[in-house]
This record gives sequence, C-alpha cells and structure tokens, in this order.
Amino acid sequence: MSGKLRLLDAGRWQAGVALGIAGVVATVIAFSSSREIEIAGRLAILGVALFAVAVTLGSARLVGVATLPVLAAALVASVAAAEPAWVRSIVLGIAWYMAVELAWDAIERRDGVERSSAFNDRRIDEVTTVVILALVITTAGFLLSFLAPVRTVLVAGLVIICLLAGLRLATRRLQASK
Amino acid sequence: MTRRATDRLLVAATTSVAGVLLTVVGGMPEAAILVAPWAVLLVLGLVNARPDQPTPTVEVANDRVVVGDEVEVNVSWTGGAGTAYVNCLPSEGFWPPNDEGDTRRGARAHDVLVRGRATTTCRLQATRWGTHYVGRAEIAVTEPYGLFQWEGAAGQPTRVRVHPKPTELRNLLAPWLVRRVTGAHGSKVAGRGVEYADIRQYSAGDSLRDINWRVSARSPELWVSQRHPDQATDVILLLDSFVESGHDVHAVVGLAIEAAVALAESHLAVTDRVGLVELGGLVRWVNPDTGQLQLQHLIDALLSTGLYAHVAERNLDAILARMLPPRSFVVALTPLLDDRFIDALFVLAAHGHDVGVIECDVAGPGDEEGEANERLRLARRFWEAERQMVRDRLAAHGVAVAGWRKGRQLDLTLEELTRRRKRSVRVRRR
Repeated sequence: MSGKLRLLDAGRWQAGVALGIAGVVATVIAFSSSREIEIAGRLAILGVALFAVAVTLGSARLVGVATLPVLAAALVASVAAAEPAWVRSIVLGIAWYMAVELAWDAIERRDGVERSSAFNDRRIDEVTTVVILALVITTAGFLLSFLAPVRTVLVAGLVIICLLAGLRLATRRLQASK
Repeated sequence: MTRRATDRLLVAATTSVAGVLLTVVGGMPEAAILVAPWAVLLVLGLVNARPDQPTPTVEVANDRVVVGDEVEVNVSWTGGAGTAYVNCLPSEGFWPPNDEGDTRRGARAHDVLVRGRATTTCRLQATRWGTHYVGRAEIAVTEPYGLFQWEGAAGQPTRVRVHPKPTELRNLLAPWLVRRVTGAHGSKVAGRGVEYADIRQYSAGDSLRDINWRVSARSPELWVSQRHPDQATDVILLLDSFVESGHDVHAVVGLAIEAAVALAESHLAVTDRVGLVELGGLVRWVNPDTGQLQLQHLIDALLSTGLYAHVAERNLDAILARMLPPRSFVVALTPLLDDRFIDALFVLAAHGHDVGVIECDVAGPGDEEGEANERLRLARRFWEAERQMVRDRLAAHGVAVAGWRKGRQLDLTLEELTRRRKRSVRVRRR
C-alpha cells in the first residue's frame, strides 16, 4: 500500500465509523428526497464520495469541503417538504458534524502521534460540548416553532434568537467556570 | 511562533454564515438547524481563543543511550492553552531510511496545555550507533476548539551518543608482548603469577609458598614451582574507516565499531592500556590509557567516526611509527578492502608490533542475487580468490586474520583468531 493510502493504519476504526455515519447520512438524504428533487440524492452521494476520498487520502481540508455538498443536499431535500423537517435536520446536522470530527481525528492519528489520555479526554469533551449545545439549542427552537405558523419570518427569527441566546448562555457559563 | 486560522475555522465559518443567510434571506429554518453544530463550534472557539503566545523550552533528558533505547525530549511550556503537538526532529542518519526512503522523520507527541503549564515528552528510539543531534522540534499549539493554531520551531540541537549494544566477551585475545606492569595476561618469562610454568631446585631467598611439595616428597632436595607472571599490555585498536564504494559502509564500520567497543571494555577491565587509531578519511588517535574514563574517550572517538571518501595517498608509515607505543598489541578491525590500510598492517608487523586482524565481512558480488547469475558467480570467485591472497600474504608476515560477520558471536571469532595467531607465531619464528 502506498504511503498516502493508509486507511488501514492507526485511526482505522475512527475512519470506519466516520465513513459509516457519512454513509447513513447520505442514505437518509437520498431516500427522504422526493423524485422531483433527485438532485439532493446526487449531491449527498457526491459529498459522501468526496468525504471517503478525503479520509482515504488523509486530507483534512477536503473533509471540510465535503461538508458543503452534504449539507446542501440535506437542505434541498427538506425544503421540498411542506413543513420543516426539524428532527431530521437536527439528527443529520449533528451526525455529519460527528462524522467530520471523527474523520479529522482518524487523519491525525495516522501520523503515529503519541497521545496522552488527557489529550483524548480534552477532544472528547470539546466535541461533546458542541453536540450537546447544538442539540439543546435546536430542540428549543423546534419547541418554540409550535407557537408560530410554519415557514414564517417569526420561525426563522425564533431559531436565530434561540441560537444566539443559547450561545450567550453557554459562553457565560464557560467563562464563569474558569 | 506565528498564529494562523485552521481548516476547522474555515469550515465552521463558511457553513455557519451560509446557514444563517439561508435561514434569514431564504426563509429556510432547516439551514440554521443543519449548521447549528458548526455555529456552536465557531462561537465556542472564538470565545475561548487565547491570543497569548505559548513559549516552549526543549530539553534532551539523556545524552548517552544504547542502540534500542529511547532518547527522551521534554518540552515544557509557559503561556498558551489548548492542545500541543510536538514533532522532535533528530539529525539526518539517526534513523535508517523507511520504505519511502525518508530519513528526516521525527517523533511526535500530543498533549494538553492547561493554562500553559505542561510538559510534553517525545520518545525517539535510537536504532543506529553514532553521534547524533537531537533537540530541534516543530511545535504547534491548537487553541481550545481548534479554530486557531500557533506554529513554530524550538530547541537547539544537543549531541546524543548512541552506543552499540554491549557484547560480553568470555575470552580475551592474548598478546605475545606484555608490559612490565601487573595485569591479566600470562607472560612468557617465569615469575610471580598464577599459571604454572616450570619447576626448579630451591635456592636461598625462595618463598616457602612456592615449594612444590609433591615433587619435593619424591626427591632428597626441595623443589619450587615457577609461574608465569600476569602482566598488562598495550592494546591498540586500529579502525579502518576508508570508504569503499559499492558496500554498505555504515554496516561494515558498524561491525568494526561494535567489536572495538567490546574489545576495549574487556581489555580495560583487566588493567590493559587501550588506545585507538582510526585510519580513513581522517586519521585520528586516542593515546593508550587505562580506566573507565579512557573507555568513555574511546567510545566517544569511535562514535564520531566519520565515513568520508578519500583518495589522497597518506604516508601511513610515518604516521603509525609516531603514533604507537613500541611493541604494541594491535587489533585491526577492517573489511580488508583498502590497499592503503592493508599496507599499513604490513608496516606495523615489520616494526615488530604484534598484529591480529578481525575481518569485518562484507557482502561480495552476487551475494544478494544468489548463484543464478553465471557472471556474478564468476566475479564472486575472483573476488574471493583476491581476498584469500591478501589473507595469505598477511599470514606469511605473521599477521593472523579471522572473519566476523553480523549475527556471529564475537567470541567465536576471537577463538579462531587465537588459534590462527598460534600458527602465525610459528611462521614468525621461522
């Protein structure tokens, strides 16, 4: 095996899980999009293929680039629906973020870097914080959407207000803990 | 160190901005939900960004190791926070080339900087003997949530000596010529010692301890045992570092150095004086002396042996005549490939030195290809014949040669050399 194609080196299970999650995300997008918007499925497959290539070659930047087509595909698939697909969007957004983090981690591990347990704990802690906060904020936004009719400026405004409020709260808590 | 934005920031910022724009302008709340993790990451990363520069200090923990041991490089930090990445880069030649021919790779380590207080350790496994330089490191500190990174280099190259693995010798090479100093080698003359030499009649002044009671009991006179006194010698290790193209020079000189270190250790342990003469691209020597300090001097000189191609003819006769104490015991460590070195051996034998040769065996033509190639097989026969002629010429001058190759016990070679030296003494006497 050549020097760059090192999928089976250290970090292989992280790469495997990342690719698995990416595959599930693409499948969900492809199967949930209607026949009229088959571009969504194609975009998702393109994004996941790009992601797989990036993970195999060990390019962290290309992994990031693959995010755009996948998120675009998820968006295109959901806008065709009459009502916003909240739960699916939350799950897909978080799943993709975790896939990208795992892929980056797998690429870093391949360099044979000696890692302390404190380093691993720190990484897990950061990713967990991001995921939990995202989940809390989007769930709050989803719950608030029951108060307003769908697809209105109010919903969008509420989502953004929730996002900003949640972030402000989180930063205050973090600063207070230091 | 310089601070730069990472790919993570690029992805988080792009997706967050795109999501918020699509939400507000396009009226698609799903966009904001999809990019929510990236937006959270962006905000957390910006809030926790640490613009204070981390300052690393690099220290090499051990400057002498044996092949197979690890050299520890500690990086201690002041300032900064986040996760640190250290890539310790040793000098070229510290590691053999890998599958991709890369010899400039480093040992890497990751750690966490908690408010700028931590020590990160890189471990470099020493696989090649010699003097190397370690202590230079590429440093990268990623701030919390990984949106920004400090990058730079730190540390000064520190000399690290990698010793060959110690070879314990059961036997010593016995010299024919000894000094008038007590040691471990049996002298040819009779005197005070351990090894039995002869008996003679008791005379006034002889110690009662020396009386041989068994012989005296069968005779009307008293008889005393005579013994060989144990004396020390001057051992000169003559190292051949002439570069011969077409061979794995590092491996051949490595064999010679391994043997030289083992011989130096074992002879210094029995109070012999040991010196070193390196003939090659550079001519260097260490005067003979005893003790552990001398062992360090010898090892340092051996480990800094340089392999330089050199075509200049040297007046080795004059150099050697000035360098060596008279009637030294010279152990030459050589692949017997360079004529200048072989001539030097004849000169030494002619000057009355006791010379033995440990021939560090090298792969000849056709060794790797096997016997399949007829031309290579023929070339190998010529090559072998030529080398055998050199050995015979040396033997005719009373210089014994024994071969040593990787994987063979050095003790076996020394035993073989001792056997051949006995024969070569007969040649010299003739």
